[in-house]
Amino acid sequence: MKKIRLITLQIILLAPFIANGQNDLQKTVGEELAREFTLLSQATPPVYYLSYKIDDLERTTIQATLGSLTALDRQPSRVLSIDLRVGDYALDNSDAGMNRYRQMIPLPISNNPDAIKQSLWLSTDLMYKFGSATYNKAKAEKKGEQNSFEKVAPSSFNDTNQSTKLTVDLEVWKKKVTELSALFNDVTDIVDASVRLSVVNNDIYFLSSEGASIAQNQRIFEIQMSANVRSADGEAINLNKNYFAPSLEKLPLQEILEVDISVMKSKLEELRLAPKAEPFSGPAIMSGSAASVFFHEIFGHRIESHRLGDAKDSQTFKDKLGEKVLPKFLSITFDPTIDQYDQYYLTGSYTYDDEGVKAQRVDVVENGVLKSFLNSRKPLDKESKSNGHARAQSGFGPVSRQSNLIVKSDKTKNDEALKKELIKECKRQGKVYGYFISQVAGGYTMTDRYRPNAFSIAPTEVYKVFVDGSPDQLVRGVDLIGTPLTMFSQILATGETLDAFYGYCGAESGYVPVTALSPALLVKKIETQKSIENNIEQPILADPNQLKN
Amino acid sequence: MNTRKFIGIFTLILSVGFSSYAQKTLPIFQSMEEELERNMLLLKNEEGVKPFFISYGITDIKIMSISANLGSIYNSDIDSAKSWYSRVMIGDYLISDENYNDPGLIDNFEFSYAPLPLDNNKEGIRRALWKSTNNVFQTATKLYKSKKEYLSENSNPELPLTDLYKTPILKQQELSSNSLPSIESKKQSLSKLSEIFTNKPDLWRSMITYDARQANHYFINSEGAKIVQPYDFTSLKVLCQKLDDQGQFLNVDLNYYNDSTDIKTSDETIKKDIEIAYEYLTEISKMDEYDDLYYGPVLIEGAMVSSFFLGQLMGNSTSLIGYRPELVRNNQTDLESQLKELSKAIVSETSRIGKSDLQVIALPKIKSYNGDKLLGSITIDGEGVIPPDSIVLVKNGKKVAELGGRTPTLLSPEATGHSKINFVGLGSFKQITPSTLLVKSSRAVPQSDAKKQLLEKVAQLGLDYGLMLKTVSTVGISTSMFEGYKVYLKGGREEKIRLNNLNFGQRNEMLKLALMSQEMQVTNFMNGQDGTGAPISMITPQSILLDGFELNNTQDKKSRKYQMTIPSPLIKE
Repeated sequence: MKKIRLITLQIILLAPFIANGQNDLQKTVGEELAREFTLLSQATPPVYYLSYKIDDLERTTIQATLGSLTALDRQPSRVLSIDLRVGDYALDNSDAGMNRYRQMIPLPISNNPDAIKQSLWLSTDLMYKFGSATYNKAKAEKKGEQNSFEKVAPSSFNDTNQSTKLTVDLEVWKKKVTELSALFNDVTDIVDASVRLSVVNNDIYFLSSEGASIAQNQRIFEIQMSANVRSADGEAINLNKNYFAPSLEKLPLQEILEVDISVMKSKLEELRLAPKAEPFSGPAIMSGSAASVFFHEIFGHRIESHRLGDAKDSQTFKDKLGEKVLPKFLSITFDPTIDQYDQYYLTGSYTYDDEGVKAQRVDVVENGVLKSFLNSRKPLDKESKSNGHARAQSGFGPVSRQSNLIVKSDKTKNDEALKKELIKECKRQGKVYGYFISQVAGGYTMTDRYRPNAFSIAPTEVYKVFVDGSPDQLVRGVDLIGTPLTMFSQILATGETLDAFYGYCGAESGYVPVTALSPALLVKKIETQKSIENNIEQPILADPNQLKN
Repeated sequence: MNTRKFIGIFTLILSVGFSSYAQKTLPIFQSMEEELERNMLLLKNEEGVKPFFISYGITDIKIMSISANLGSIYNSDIDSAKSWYSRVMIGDYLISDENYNDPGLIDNFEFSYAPLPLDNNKEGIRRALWKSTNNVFQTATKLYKSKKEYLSENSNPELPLTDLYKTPILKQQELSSNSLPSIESKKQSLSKLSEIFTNKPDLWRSMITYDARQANHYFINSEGAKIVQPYDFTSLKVLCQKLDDQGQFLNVDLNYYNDSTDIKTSDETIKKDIEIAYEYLTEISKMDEYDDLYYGPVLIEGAMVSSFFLGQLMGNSTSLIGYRPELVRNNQTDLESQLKELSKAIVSETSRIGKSDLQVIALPKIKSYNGDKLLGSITIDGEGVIPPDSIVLVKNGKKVAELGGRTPTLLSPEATGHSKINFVGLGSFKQITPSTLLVKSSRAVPQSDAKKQLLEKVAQLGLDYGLMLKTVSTVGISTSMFEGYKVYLKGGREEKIRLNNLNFGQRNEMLKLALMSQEMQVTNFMNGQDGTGAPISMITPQSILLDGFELNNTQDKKSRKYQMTIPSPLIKE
């Protein structure tokens, strides 16, 4: 009798997975998901939700350093991430705070059903052991009335196209990156310089016991150029430049890259000779790309809802919905549904998030007023719903993360007017100069309660703008620091045009690609400190290759 | 001048067909030579201190890794890299910057390193060597200065060991003539081989892992050595795991090695081994675990004997690996005490490690023994030293020598040519590693007498039975697959038992050796995990009898139990 019931259940559960358009991998995974869920939902304690996410990846990396090839790798891999929940939607093991961190589980790269099913079985069993062991802890620790996990209607989607296989001509790209990296050879006191092409083709499959069957393709094409020189006083000075595109063809042409390298080289030479800056407090303009990092770090991380639900977090904006949190002329949107905005390609785009929820545009701030958070399926309160922002690097458990951040302003000025305003503000504050922060490498912020709720941004190109009309002066060794609420209150105006910052954001659920777009900002008061000195000793003998030049 | 003369006398020219390899080796050797020459000529610090010795080693490595199970490929990759090291020494052969540490020396500056190019780009290779030479030199000058000060503060005592041993200069050039197999055909064949597990659904987990390496190691030094040698090697590992009804994991691994770029063992042979392993696991999993307390003699047969000796001779106080203690400039121990300890150690190292019949001899150069290949053999080590034909390491139970490189050690004051190149993935490094060790007894007995002597010991101790461990015989090397027996005093009856968690390696168990057989066997091992490190060959007796073997399996095993919640998807109804 029991056996018949199990078989019936399996047939019912298999139905959503045996659909048209599914490939062999999805069918195999679907079958094992159904079997596992059927049996584990009858175990004690029961599993009420099970999902498998498979990243079917092929990464190609080609890197050259100062004219010689230093990395070449092309490797297929399949990584399984399991979300197994014990209990029910109201209360499950994730409330023990242990569901975020998971193992990166390798799956066979060929579609052999037995091998795939065995890997799923072994890994699912380990997850069940862990889930059932932590379930009791979760019951004991449960606070508040919100559910542990939001129930959503299952989705079906497929944009993977097996026929359009991605090919990278290794010989062509080896030659390209090697030639480009060789252009740095004549830079004085060059320490290191590399050019790297990274191509990632990822077919992401998501299947859940709720009936979701999603297959989406993500491709990232990136060229990264990085160079370090040694200043006269022995400090290492680094400049980076990244390019992201939706295809190999849309990456910049070799000629454009050569021009950009030439600009980088000039800037490196200027930085090598530039004076070090002293700590400063006063007005500044942040370029669009610098402001993008600023908003990503200082604002974006503080509206990720999983953080706001964590009692250890400072929860800066948790009770601020409907309140003014930014100047009235600013609005902020997160939009993973588009991959292009103006002339900018966006890398934080996806169709479904990593919990099987359709990606949604979220207007988080309208005219300075906080309207929403970035939500996953873990509810922040009784009312909150996922808006498709659960994201994770393969092998990590998803949490709410940023996608494409777009800042809009109603109070814009052109560059010249913005600079005039900066000088005016400097004079008002009795300052000899203000800062123009042109380029940044990245930044970080701390949102927990145990450390100061501060941020730090690492500019790579900073100019002193003098009130007496002297030419702008490039300086080095500056870190921009501060605390969020104070900084937001200091924004006076913005530039007219958007600029972008691309990067991989690292947090609890690993690294995910993000893009931020912002106009330049005029800020009444910023604070800087000296950056960490990274000194590199001058070799006794000269570079053997520069001897020949 | 005198030094050059001295070295010149010992120069050996073993150059083989250099011109035919010139195209491949030229950019690497040229870069090494140019940078070595430039640094020897020009490198000096503000005080005019120059290096007296520089050596460079570059390993050009290409590896293929594939794992397969149940007819499916889990992972496949071909990768290549150049791994390298620079050795720069200040001072002279007697007293250099090495074998010394000053914890008070803290560098405020970071050094920069450059990766070696994958292509044979001369400029890239020179840049990497230039930077690393500079960095090692900077550290070496500081250490040397500190060491000289320290010795001077203590009236420049005579040191019991020099810092670098002088060796003849070699020039030998032999490149790998092999290439890696086609990855597609290898994937196919391994996938096919792994299909053997599809009809063994009761195995908890299985996997075949294949790693093939094609490598050449380039070495030059300022004394004039110039060597290139192939380091091709392949390992194939089969893992079988079973979870028995009592929740205990049983593991068997089978290892196949070859000093070329593919495995020579046929698929049919490997399949036969897997069937033996499967039958073994099936049988063992049905048996109850031996849970008695035992103290008495144990007779061991097969590859476990080789494993026992390898563990004893490498892993504890009886190790044959030369160790050079560093002098340390600190407040805890003064120099005089350190030198006293060092001199005392030289004497105490000749202490007994086995009974008077135990003999251990290193045979680095022989390639095979009784038709079995010795994969640990070497002709030249990673420092350009030719090892002697044989080295007596243990004589009549006493350790009289140890394995070393050019850094003199307590029982290896002269270079014994055992600074071998070891590999981990795409990295290579020098490490004192045995080549081939011959272990034998001067009072060996025929194997047929072994059981009789076991029972005599049992009788002497008033026991009902003794224990016997027989390694299950397979072509692949496996020390985890053995059968345990109770051998009863009454009639010599053998009763099969299941023994887990045996551990021989912690103390000097060689003093307990009561018998070694005349019949010998060869077993090849790797000194690292999962086919990493360097190969070591053991020629050992096929059987040994140990006195005073202790087995305590009475502890609670509940905590080690694991049970799958639902049945395997491979078990079809």
